[in-house]
Amino acid sequence: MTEFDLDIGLWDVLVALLYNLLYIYSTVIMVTYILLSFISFVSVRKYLQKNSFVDYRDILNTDFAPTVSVLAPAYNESATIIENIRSLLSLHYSNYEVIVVNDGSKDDTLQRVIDEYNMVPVHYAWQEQIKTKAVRAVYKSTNPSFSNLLLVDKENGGKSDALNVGMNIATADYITCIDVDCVLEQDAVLKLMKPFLDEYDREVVATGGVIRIANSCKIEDGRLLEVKVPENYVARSQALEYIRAFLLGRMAWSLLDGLILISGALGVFNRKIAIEAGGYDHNTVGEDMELVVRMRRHMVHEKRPYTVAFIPDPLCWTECPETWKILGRQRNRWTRGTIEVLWKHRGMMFNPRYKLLGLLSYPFWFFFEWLAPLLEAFGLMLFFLLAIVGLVNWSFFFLMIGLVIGFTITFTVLSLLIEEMTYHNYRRKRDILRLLHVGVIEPFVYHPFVVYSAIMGNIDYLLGKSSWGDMTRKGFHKTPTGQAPKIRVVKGVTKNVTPILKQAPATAWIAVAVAFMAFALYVLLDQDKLLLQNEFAFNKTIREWIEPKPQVSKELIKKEKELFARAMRKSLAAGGKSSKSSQKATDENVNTSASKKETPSKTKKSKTDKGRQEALPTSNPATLPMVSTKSQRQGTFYIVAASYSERGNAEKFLRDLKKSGFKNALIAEGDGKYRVAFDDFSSEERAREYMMNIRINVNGDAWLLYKP
Amino acid sequence: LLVEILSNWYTSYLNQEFAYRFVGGIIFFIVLLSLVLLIGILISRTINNRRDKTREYWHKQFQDLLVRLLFEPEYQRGEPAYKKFIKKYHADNLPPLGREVLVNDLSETHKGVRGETGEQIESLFVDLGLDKYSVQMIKKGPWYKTAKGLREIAEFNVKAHIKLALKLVDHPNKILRSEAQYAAISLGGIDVLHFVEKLRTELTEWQQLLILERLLRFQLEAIPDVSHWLSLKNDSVVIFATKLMVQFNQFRASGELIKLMDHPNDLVKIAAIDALRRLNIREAAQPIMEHYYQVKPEVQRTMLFSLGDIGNRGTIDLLKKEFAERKEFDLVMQAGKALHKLGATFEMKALTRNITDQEDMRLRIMQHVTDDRI
Repeated sequence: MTEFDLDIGLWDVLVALLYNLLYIYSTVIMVTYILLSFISFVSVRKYLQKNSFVDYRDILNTDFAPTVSVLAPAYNESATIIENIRSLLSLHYSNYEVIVVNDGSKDDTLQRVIDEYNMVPVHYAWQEQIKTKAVRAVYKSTNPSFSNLLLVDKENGGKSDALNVGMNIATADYITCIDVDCVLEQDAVLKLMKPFLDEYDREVVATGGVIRIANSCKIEDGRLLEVKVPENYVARSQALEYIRAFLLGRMAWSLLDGLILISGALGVFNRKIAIEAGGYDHNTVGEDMELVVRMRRHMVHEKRPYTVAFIPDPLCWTECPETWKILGRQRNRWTRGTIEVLWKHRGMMFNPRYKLLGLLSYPFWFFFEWLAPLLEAFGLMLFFLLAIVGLVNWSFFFLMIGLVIGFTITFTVLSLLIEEMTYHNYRRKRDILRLLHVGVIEPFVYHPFVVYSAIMGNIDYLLGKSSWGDMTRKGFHKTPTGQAPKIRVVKGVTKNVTPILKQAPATAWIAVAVAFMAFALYVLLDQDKLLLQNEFAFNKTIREWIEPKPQVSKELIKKEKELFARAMRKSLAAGGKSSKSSQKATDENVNTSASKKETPSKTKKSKTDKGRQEALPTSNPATLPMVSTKSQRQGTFYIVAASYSERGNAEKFLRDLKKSGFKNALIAEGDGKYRVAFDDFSSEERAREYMMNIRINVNGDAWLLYKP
Repeated sequence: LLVEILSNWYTSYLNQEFAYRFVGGIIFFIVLLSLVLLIGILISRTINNRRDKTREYWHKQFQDLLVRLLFEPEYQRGEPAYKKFIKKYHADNLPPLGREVLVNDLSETHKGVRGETGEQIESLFVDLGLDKYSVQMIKKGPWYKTAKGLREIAEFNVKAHIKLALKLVDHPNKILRSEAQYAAISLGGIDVLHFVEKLRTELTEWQQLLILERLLRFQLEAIPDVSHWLSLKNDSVVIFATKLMVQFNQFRASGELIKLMDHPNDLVKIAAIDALRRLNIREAAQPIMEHYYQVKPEVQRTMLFSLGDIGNRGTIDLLKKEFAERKEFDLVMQAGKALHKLGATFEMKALTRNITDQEDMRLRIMQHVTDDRI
């Protein structure tokens, strides 16, 4: 209970709390991203300085370099498999083998590899250290040139299962897990292996590299020739997203030693530790992240010093979805994977045993990666609800929208600047302009879709869906003879774009235009008028519809009206004059039932401007319509500002009002109540406008009195 | 009008409540920041593109000249054309970027050649005064510049500055000391190799490989005996010593290597056993068998693998026992491979003759090791 006896309901408290939580959350997320980007920048610079003079070829020819098995799971990859294996066989590293795992492909992936590389089935023995689906056969090439190539044919069991088979069969100390459709830089394994060789006091359990989008890039014989920004809008948005995620996100976590995700597209793992940890989990669609988390937990439980490294060099180029449908599936899967991992390892949350991992990395993923889309959607729904009830502070809303969009765009521009300053991959001015363009429209088109997909992922998770979804790849362009050309342009996945979404860029520009117009309107229109119109035109009706009027008997209303009129007449006849606003007034009986309808911002305002708001009258105006809203009469109009049950309090408030400049303020007595009113209005219109301002900005129950 | 509008905006801004002013202020800051970042991109692009163009220009300038300098007689050292080139492209007369491109070009060319041509490039590096800048970087630059300078003097064999490298071989900065060690070995070869035994810091695997690679470039017949390193307290140096012994065929110290089977560090044990195998020390078979049941499975695995190469008929019983009785797949596989290598395939097959289950581990391993296509 405050001095003013505010009647704040549970709903008010909840809404206020929610609003503040959302503000706090948004602030924390923004600050976190700023910090991460700063750390990333430092980390990338440090890496580039550290490696500016390193010649990886120095260790190319030594027999003492550790052995590496490159695991390439393939499922229906017939279109690209031959060229991709060729690319893998030309990697720069001395001791490595390539293990291609055909995961029960329905197409001719297996046969194509057998034919192309002269593979024959062999008696290959391995230990099933991780339980997997049955392996049908293991093939080796009869051509000595491909002596380091192994082909495994197994029953379909998903990517995790295929990688686990590879892990079982591999004989090397380290395993490199890749997506077979990726194009690797030739030095990729060398660079990824360096952190393993460069540590002495602690074990490196895994190393990840930056993944970039290959759509529209020129590739020859499995080697990247020219980097271009994807032509397709969906792919282009992802190109930007990948730059942000890898360059600004993972590098920072790597420096903090809190990295828990190494992309399934490219990662090197210590095989022994990966097997000790149990290999890839078959029961999750986020197997790449899950393995890293489990390996980290394993090392913590074993009390062995360890780290997870990350290389900011773009080492792997991958095809990304070019249609909304497939992108939606992918993001849906990623969300389900995140939930599964977070749920499975929930014991890490704020657990000091895991140090930074439990205190920062895990909470970051929980609050910002998983929860963010949910909160965003929830916020949107809450906004619509509040807009319907008329509790939206529009001016503040537009400001906040401006802030969020501004931040997003700034963050994007920052990531592009860092990319420019470090790797400078996109040489053409056009490419950077296109990325900037995507960055500007992303908040209106791409981002909402990604959030939607994440929500669907959450729903699917709750419904128990666990499929991967198909990723149909376009593969390489074919020449008329059916041969893969020497130079190809990665075309990405199939282009069955829906007609509406095909117009995405145009839609985005319309959205931008609408937002701009709304903003211009907001700037040009008188803010108070806008609010006033809003109050008159929409909210009041809805409010009354949602909140039925109190059941007060007509007789009581009539009696109250008469008492007021009499009291005012008497008071005016006695020569009482009006006043202006107030500071403080107290009354134990001030009725604040209307405060239930206050917006949280108003509630907040009440805290900063207590006296003024709390002193104002609060009985339902609908029960005291002293002046008809349609009349245009001449005379003096008074605004009743407060109602007290003790005269002393009313007089105190009156004195305050007069001190504040409302020299004509007066007290109207009646029905055991003392109402303080003030005037200054000879025009009804002006009085009403002023009253409405008070209603909207201070208290919803100010009302008028009229003296002819 | 603009001033008026801005003034109105500012007045209106000041009249807002704190929350509005606060958020509005942040938005203003963000917009300003975005513009600054955009300008940053523009500047960065311009600088990068200009640098690329300038690089390209210098690269073109140097490419032809380098070929002439290296392969045409009139450009031989001391000839007027050579002197003219040196004068024109002396490091003091080049802008920093030109120097950088020249060093890179020389380095790339140097990596591809050996012998007299390689020495010519090294002389050219000094004649062009580039070594002065490398030394400057080593002495005055931040750590990464120092490291780069060290790499340059190592690359171009500027022996005069070996002391600079030797000073830093045990530096607390891992990268710096790695480069210093690389440079010291590159410049001093086996004469300075003794610095390794004095190291207080650990030698990572990467550093070991780098030093080894540098030593191999000298195409040495032999290096000084490093067997006394095997008794050092720095385990990483001990492991490195085993690699050196293998690389330079120092089999006379096999006794010291055998002693390492009693070393408390398993990594050292593994390195020693592997070295014995690579050096083909057949006398080690007996000590290996004696130590076999006293070590962990990881070490046993290396022992079995080594016995395949250095074992004899006397070791077959142990291998057969391991093949028939052990449950660890790895050990059975290594025992099977060793048996096959030692020509005891028949005995191994005999051990699996009565196995009817086609999925049995031992049967599968027997088939694996006897499949010559693998």
